[in-house]
Amino acid sequence: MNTQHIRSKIAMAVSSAVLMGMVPLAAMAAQPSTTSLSPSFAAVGSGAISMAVNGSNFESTSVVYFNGAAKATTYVSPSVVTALIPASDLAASGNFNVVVVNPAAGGGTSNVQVFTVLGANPMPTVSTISPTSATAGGSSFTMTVNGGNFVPGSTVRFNGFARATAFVSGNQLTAFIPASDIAMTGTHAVYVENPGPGGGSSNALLFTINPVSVTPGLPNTGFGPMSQEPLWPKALAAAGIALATIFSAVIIGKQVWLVKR
Amino acid sequence: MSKKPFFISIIFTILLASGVLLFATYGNGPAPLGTPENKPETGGNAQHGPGLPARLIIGSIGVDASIIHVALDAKGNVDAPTTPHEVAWFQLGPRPGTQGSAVITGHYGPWQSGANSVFDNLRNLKTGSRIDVEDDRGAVRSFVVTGSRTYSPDESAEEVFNKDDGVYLNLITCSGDWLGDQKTYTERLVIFAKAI
Repeated sequence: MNTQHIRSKIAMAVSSAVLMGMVPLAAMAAQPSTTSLSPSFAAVGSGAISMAVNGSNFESTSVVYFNGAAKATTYVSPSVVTALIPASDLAASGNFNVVVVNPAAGGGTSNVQVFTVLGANPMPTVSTISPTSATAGGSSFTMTVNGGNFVPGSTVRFNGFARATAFVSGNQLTAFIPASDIAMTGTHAVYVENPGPGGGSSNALLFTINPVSVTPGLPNTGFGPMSQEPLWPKALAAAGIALATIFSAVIIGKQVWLVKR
Repeated sequence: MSKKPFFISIIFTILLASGVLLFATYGNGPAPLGTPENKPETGGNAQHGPGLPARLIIGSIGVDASIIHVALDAKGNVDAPTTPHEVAWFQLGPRPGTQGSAVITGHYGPWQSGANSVFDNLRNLKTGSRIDVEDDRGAVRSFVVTGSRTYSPDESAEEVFNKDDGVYLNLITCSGDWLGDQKTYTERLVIFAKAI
């Protein structure tokens, strides 16, 4: 008698028992089903995390299996269980299967969800930027940064400031440089920063903001005797006089009160 | 009925008003270079060349002024400082200490209030006088006066802005007679200096 034959016999016996009312239907576990994980990824080297498994038919006895190993599981509801994923399971990058198992009788193993342990981000490098210069007082523009090891979270920094960055590929980013960044002449470093884990700052290339080539008019730097006098000295003087008057009134008033008492 | 609460409230109101006035007068200094939300990263070799000019010191005529940064006004002229005591670096031109002609402007003439302007004595500078510019990183760059010239207000002063065969600093202010109807002076005085 093979294993399959034994299983079918057991199933038939259980079905008969249920039909005859010997085993209450409510005691039968249903096969669980999963729809998603939260979170569904973590950075390599992360500390332990609590991972929620969303789905249906979860029981208080459901157990989450991560990469084939049972994990400490907490039943939240028929649609949610959580499992503690220890740091040792997040020490290496890769994709790991997650299932939920409901024990017999009934029960069974759910469909598979995949949990990803992300590897460390590489150190970016910058080879060229375009454009490499602008004229002071110019308009906003989009800068293209070419290099290597760019990732979706890479950020272009211009003069030290993070600028809105679009990931094009592992070898190219674009960044929006606002007009305020080129309002003054100077030379600024441009580099790329990759987020952790790993990651870091690339080498820097220089961007030059050149002086305007036109000759501006000479400034009017005259404060002539007809210039508008600022109001604050008079206002301060008035406030001081008022303050002195009030204090005098208080003192006089206090003396009057003292006399009255 | 005691009148003390009345007097206290009057005093409080006046002190509050004075505080608001003082803040409005002095609380609008130069904007910080980076707000906490957008603070520049100092790593990655972010600093290159001279910093932004922050202070002008001319010992021989007693000038020690903070430097604001200006571009052009609506007429296409270099903008002027907003107060009589500060000077303004023309930010569309070179920074002091870099190749080319950096320009700093300052006011000339008395106010009705009696306040003097920072460049009232600029005309007294002599060839060889020393001018120092401190940048926002604390570095000081020194220049020596090489000459001066007056211009009419509408005259093109290309050599003031565009001479780029060396490291120059040119100071501009007004001079001549006051034209009340135009609210300006008849001339512009330019002090030419070069890096030491």
